[in-house]
Amino acid sequence: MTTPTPGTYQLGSGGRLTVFEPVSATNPPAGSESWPLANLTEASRLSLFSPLPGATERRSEIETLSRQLADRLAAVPVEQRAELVAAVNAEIARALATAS
Amino acid sequence: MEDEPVWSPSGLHCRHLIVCRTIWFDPAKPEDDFSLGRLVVRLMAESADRFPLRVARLFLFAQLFGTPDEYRVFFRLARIDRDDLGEEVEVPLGRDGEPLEFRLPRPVVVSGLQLVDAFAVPLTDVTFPEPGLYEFQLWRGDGDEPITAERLEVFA
Repeated sequence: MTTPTPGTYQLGSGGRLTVFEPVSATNPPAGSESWPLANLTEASRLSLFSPLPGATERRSEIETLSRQLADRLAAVPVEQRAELVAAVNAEIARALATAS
Repeated sequence: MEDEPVWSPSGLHCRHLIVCRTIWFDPAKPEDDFSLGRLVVRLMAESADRFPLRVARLFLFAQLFGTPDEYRVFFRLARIDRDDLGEEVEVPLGRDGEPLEFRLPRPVVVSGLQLVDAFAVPLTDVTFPEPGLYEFQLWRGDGDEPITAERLEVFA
Protein backbone atom coordinates (compact mmCIF):
# COMPACT_ATOMS: atom_id res chain seq x y z
CA MET A 1 0.00 0.00 0.00
CA THR A 2 1.40 3.34 -1.04
CA THR A 3 0.23 6.93 -1.28
CA PRO A 4 -1.47 7.08 -4.69
CA THR A 5 -0.32 9.43 -7.40
CA PRO A 6 -2.82 12.03 -8.69
CA GLY A 7 -5.64 10.53 -10.70
CA THR A 8 -9.04 8.93 -10.42
CA TYR A 9 -9.13 5.33 -9.29
CA GLN A 10 -11.95 2.86 -9.67
CA LEU A 11 -12.29 0.88 -6.47
CA GLY A 12 -13.14 -2.74 -6.12
CA SER A 13 -16.21 -1.79 -4.14
CA GLY A 14 -17.53 0.14 -7.13
CA GLY A 15 -16.69 3.56 -5.75
CA ARG A 16 -14.17 6.03 -7.00
CA LEU A 17 -11.31 7.90 -5.37
CA THR A 18 -9.90 11.05 -6.97
CA VAL A 19 -6.49 12.13 -5.74
CA PHE A 20 -5.46 15.68 -6.57
CA GLU A 21 -2.06 17.14 -7.19
CA PRO A 22 -0.43 18.80 -4.18
CA VAL A 23 -1.94 22.22 -3.52
CA SER A 24 -0.23 25.10 -1.77
CA ALA A 25 -1.88 28.17 -0.28
CA THR A 26 -2.72 30.97 -2.66
CA ASN A 27 -1.82 33.68 -0.18
CA PRO A 28 0.49 32.33 2.54
CA PRO A 29 1.46 34.62 5.39
CA ALA A 30 4.34 36.94 4.61
CA GLY A 31 7.64 35.26 5.38
CA SER A 32 6.09 31.87 6.05
CA GLU A 33 8.41 30.20 3.55
CA SER A 34 11.10 30.53 6.18
CA TRP A 35 8.98 29.26 9.08
CA PRO A 36 10.44 26.04 10.51
CA LEU A 37 8.92 22.77 9.42
CA ALA A 38 7.19 21.02 12.29
CA ASN A 39 9.05 18.00 13.53
CA LEU A 40 5.98 16.03 14.51
CA THR A 41 6.57 13.43 17.16
CA GLU A 42 5.56 9.81 17.05
CA ALA A 43 3.07 10.66 19.73
CA SER A 44 1.26 12.93 17.32
CA ARG A 45 0.87 9.98 14.99
CA LEU A 46 -0.62 7.91 17.74
CA SER A 47 -3.19 10.59 18.37
CA LEU A 48 -4.28 10.35 14.75
CA PHE A 49 -6.80 7.62 15.08
CA SER A 50 -7.77 5.05 12.56
CA PRO A 51 -11.21 3.56 13.13
CA LEU A 52 -10.04 0.51 15.04
CA PRO A 53 -12.76 -1.57 16.66
CA GLY A 54 -13.46 -0.13 20.07
CA ALA A 55 -11.37 2.98 19.45
CA THR A 56 -14.28 5.37 19.66
CA GLU A 57 -15.51 3.97 22.94
CA ARG A 58 -12.01 3.95 24.41
CA ARG A 59 -10.89 7.24 22.92
CA SER A 60 -10.27 8.99 26.22
CA GLU A 61 -8.16 6.13 27.49
CA ILE A 62 -6.16 5.94 24.28
CA GLU A 63 -5.59 9.68 24.27
CA THR A 64 -4.26 9.42 27.79
CA LEU A 65 -1.87 6.71 26.69
CA SER A 66 -0.79 8.87 23.77
CA ARG A 67 -0.08 11.82 26.03
CA GLN A 68 1.88 9.57 28.37
CA LEU A 69 3.86 8.35 25.39
CA ALA A 70 4.70 11.94 24.47
CA ASP A 71 6.24 12.46 27.87
CA ARG A 72 8.13 9.20 27.69
CA LEU A 73 9.36 9.89 24.17
CA ALA A 74 10.83 13.19 25.23
CA ALA A 75 12.96 11.37 27.78
CA VAL A 76 14.60 8.79 25.53
CA PRO A 77 17.14 9.05 22.69
CA VAL A 78 15.78 9.10 19.16
CA GLU A 79 17.09 5.63 18.36
CA GLN A 80 15.02 4.13 21.18
CA ARG A 81 11.75 5.79 20.25
CA ALA A 82 10.56 3.21 17.75
CA GLU A 83 10.77 0.52 20.41
CA LEU A 84 8.88 2.68 22.87
CA VAL A 85 6.17 3.45 20.33
CA ALA A 86 5.77 -0.25 19.63
CA ALA A 87 5.38 -0.94 23.34
CA VAL A 88 2.68 1.68 23.74
CA ASN A 89 0.94 0.45 20.62
CA ALA A 90 0.82 -2.94 22.30
CA GLU A 91 -0.71 -1.32 25.39
CA ILE A 92 -3.38 0.28 23.23
CA ALA A 93 -4.06 -3.01 21.49
CA ARG A 94 -4.51 -4.69 24.86
CA ALA A 95 -6.85 -1.90 25.96
CA LEU A 96 -8.95 -2.40 22.85
CA ALA A 97 -8.95 -6.15 23.28
CA THR A 98 -10.48 -5.81 26.71
CA ALA A 99 -13.23 -3.47 25.52
CA SER A 100 -16.55 -4.88 26.53
CA MET B 1 -27.33 -1.26 -12.23
CA GLU B 2 -23.95 0.42 -12.00
CA ASP B 3 -24.99 3.41 -14.10
CA GLU B 4 -28.26 4.05 -12.33
CA PRO B 5 -28.12 7.28 -10.36
CA VAL B 6 -28.53 7.06 -6.62
CA TRP B 7 -30.87 9.39 -4.82
CA SER B 8 -29.21 12.60 -3.83
CA PRO B 9 -30.42 16.01 -2.69
CA SER B 10 -29.93 19.05 -4.87
CA GLY B 11 -26.78 21.09 -4.53
CA LEU B 12 -23.39 20.04 -3.22
CA HIS B 13 -23.04 18.31 0.13
CA CYS B 14 -20.25 16.72 2.13
CA ARG B 15 -20.66 13.48 4.05
CA HIS B 16 -17.24 13.62 5.71
CA LEU B 17 -14.27 15.95 5.76
CA ILE B 18 -11.24 14.36 7.38
CA VAL B 19 -7.69 15.58 7.93
CA CYS B 20 -5.05 12.88 7.72
CA ARG B 21 -1.36 12.45 7.16
CA THR B 22 -1.41 9.67 4.57
CA ILE B 23 -3.64 7.76 2.20
CA TRP B 24 -2.86 4.22 1.21
CA PHE B 25 -4.05 2.62 -1.99
CA ASP B 26 -2.59 -0.09 -4.18
CA PRO B 27 -3.73 0.34 -7.81
CA ALA B 28 -2.81 -3.29 -8.37
CA LYS B 29 -5.34 -4.35 -5.75
CA PRO B 30 -8.37 -2.09 -6.22
CA GLU B 31 -10.49 -4.67 -4.42
CA ASP B 32 -8.71 -3.68 -1.22
CA ASP B 33 -10.08 -0.13 -1.55
CA PHE B 34 -8.12 2.59 0.22
CA SER B 35 -7.24 3.52 3.77
CA LEU B 36 -6.76 6.83 5.50
CA GLY B 37 -3.72 6.88 7.75
CA ARG B 38 -2.92 8.90 10.84
CA LEU B 39 -6.17 10.79 11.11
CA VAL B 40 -5.54 14.20 12.57
CA VAL B 41 -7.46 15.33 15.60
CA ARG B 42 -4.42 16.92 17.16
CA LEU B 43 -1.04 17.92 15.85
CA MET B 44 1.75 17.96 18.37
CA ALA B 45 5.07 19.39 17.37
CA GLU B 46 8.20 18.42 19.21
CA SER B 47 8.88 20.53 22.23
CA ALA B 48 11.93 21.99 20.53
CA ASP B 49 9.80 23.39 17.73
CA ARG B 50 8.80 27.00 17.96
CA PHE B 51 5.76 28.69 16.51
CA PRO B 52 5.07 29.85 13.90
CA LEU B 53 5.63 26.59 12.06
CA ARG B 54 4.75 24.74 8.91
CA VAL B 55 3.60 21.18 8.32
CA ALA B 56 5.07 19.84 5.10
CA ARG B 57 1.95 17.95 4.00
CA LEU B 58 -1.54 17.21 5.21
CA PHE B 59 -4.26 15.41 3.29
CA LEU B 60 -7.85 16.58 3.25
CA PHE B 61 -10.25 13.78 2.43
CA ALA B 62 -13.82 14.61 1.45
CA GLN B 63 -16.85 12.53 0.52
CA LEU B 64 -19.15 14.65 -1.64
CA PHE B 65 -22.62 14.03 -2.98
CA GLY B 66 -25.53 15.94 -4.45
CA THR B 67 -26.61 17.11 -7.88
CA PRO B 68 -24.35 15.51 -10.51
CA ASP B 69 -22.08 18.23 -11.88
CA GLU B 70 -18.60 19.68 -11.82
CA TYR B 71 -17.97 22.01 -8.90
CA ARG B 72 -15.22 24.49 -8.16
CA VAL B 73 -14.32 24.10 -4.51
CA PHE B 74 -11.55 25.33 -2.25
CA PHE B 75 -10.37 24.88 1.30
CA ARG B 76 -9.85 27.64 3.84
CA LEU B 77 -7.82 27.34 7.02
CA ALA B 78 -8.69 29.63 9.92
CA ARG B 79 -7.75 29.83 13.57
CA ILE B 80 -10.69 29.77 15.95
CA ASP B 81 -10.48 32.25 18.79
CA ARG B 82 -12.96 33.79 21.21
CA ASP B 83 -13.86 37.43 21.58
CA ASP B 84 -14.41 39.32 24.81
CA LEU B 85 -17.95 37.93 25.06
CA GLY B 86 -16.76 34.37 24.68
CA GLU B 87 -18.14 34.04 21.19
CA GLU B 88 -16.13 32.13 18.62
CA VAL B 89 -14.45 34.22 15.97
CA GLU B 90 -12.44 33.21 12.94
CA VAL B 91 -8.96 34.62 12.62
CA PRO B 92 -7.82 34.81 8.97
CA LEU B 93 -4.35 33.42 8.44
CA GLY B 94 -3.40 34.63 4.99
CA ARG B 95 -1.23 37.49 3.88
CA ASP B 96 -2.50 40.98 4.75
CA GLY B 97 -5.27 39.63 6.95
CA GLU B 98 -6.94 37.75 4.12
CA PRO B 99 -8.23 34.17 4.48
CA LEU B 100 -5.67 31.43 3.87
CA GLU B 101 -7.01 29.40 0.96
CA PHE B 102 -6.04 26.29 -0.96
CA ARG B 103 -7.68 26.25 -4.40
CA LEU B 104 -7.99 23.04 -6.38
CA PRO B 105 -6.54 23.15 -9.89
CA ARG B 106 -9.67 21.64 -11.43
CA PRO B 107 -13.29 21.02 -10.50
CA VAL B 108 -14.47 18.05 -8.51
CA VAL B 109 -16.95 15.82 -10.27
CA VAL B 110 -20.00 14.57 -8.43
CA SER B 111 -21.20 11.64 -10.47
CA GLY B 112 -24.50 10.95 -8.81
CA LEU B 113 -23.79 7.30 -9.53
CA GLN B 114 -22.37 6.59 -6.08
CA LEU B 115 -23.59 7.28 -2.59
CA VAL B 116 -20.56 9.56 -2.32
CA ASP B 117 -17.61 10.49 -4.50
CA ALA B 118 -14.32 10.50 -2.63
CA PHE B 119 -11.57 13.09 -3.04
CA ALA B 120 -8.15 13.43 -1.47
CA VAL B 121 -6.17 16.66 -1.68
CA PRO B 122 -2.60 16.94 -0.39
CA LEU B 123 -1.98 20.40 1.05
CA THR B 124 1.64 21.47 1.22
CA ASP B 125 3.32 23.87 3.63
CA VAL B 126 0.32 24.26 5.91
CA THR B 127 1.07 27.14 8.26
CA PHE B 128 0.16 27.43 11.91
CA PRO B 129 1.23 30.76 13.40
CA GLU B 130 0.62 29.77 17.02
CA PRO B 131 -0.76 26.96 19.15
CA GLY B 132 -4.53 26.77 19.22
CA LEU B 133 -7.70 25.54 17.62
CA TYR B 134 -7.83 25.53 13.83
CA GLU B 135 -10.54 24.79 11.30
CA PHE B 136 -10.34 23.53 7.74
CA GLN B 137 -13.39 24.66 5.80
CA LEU B 138 -14.66 23.29 2.51
CA TRP B 139 -16.16 26.03 0.33
CA ARG B 140 -17.98 25.90 -2.93
CA GLY B 141 -16.47 28.43 -5.33
CA ASP B 142 -19.66 30.46 -5.59
CA GLY B 143 -20.86 29.88 -2.05
CA ASP B 144 -21.16 32.41 0.73
CA GLU B 145 -20.61 29.97 3.57
CA PRO B 146 -18.63 26.75 4.02
CA ILE B 147 -20.21 23.44 3.12
CA THR B 148 -18.58 21.81 6.11
CA ALA B 149 -15.59 22.17 8.42
CA GLU B 150 -13.19 20.03 10.41
CA ARG B 151 -11.27 21.19 13.46
CA LEU B 152 -7.93 20.23 14.91
CA GLU B 153 -5.79 21.30 17.81
CA VAL B 154 -2.19 22.31 17.27
CA PHE B 155 0.27 22.55 20.12
CA ALA B 156 3.84 21.85 21.10
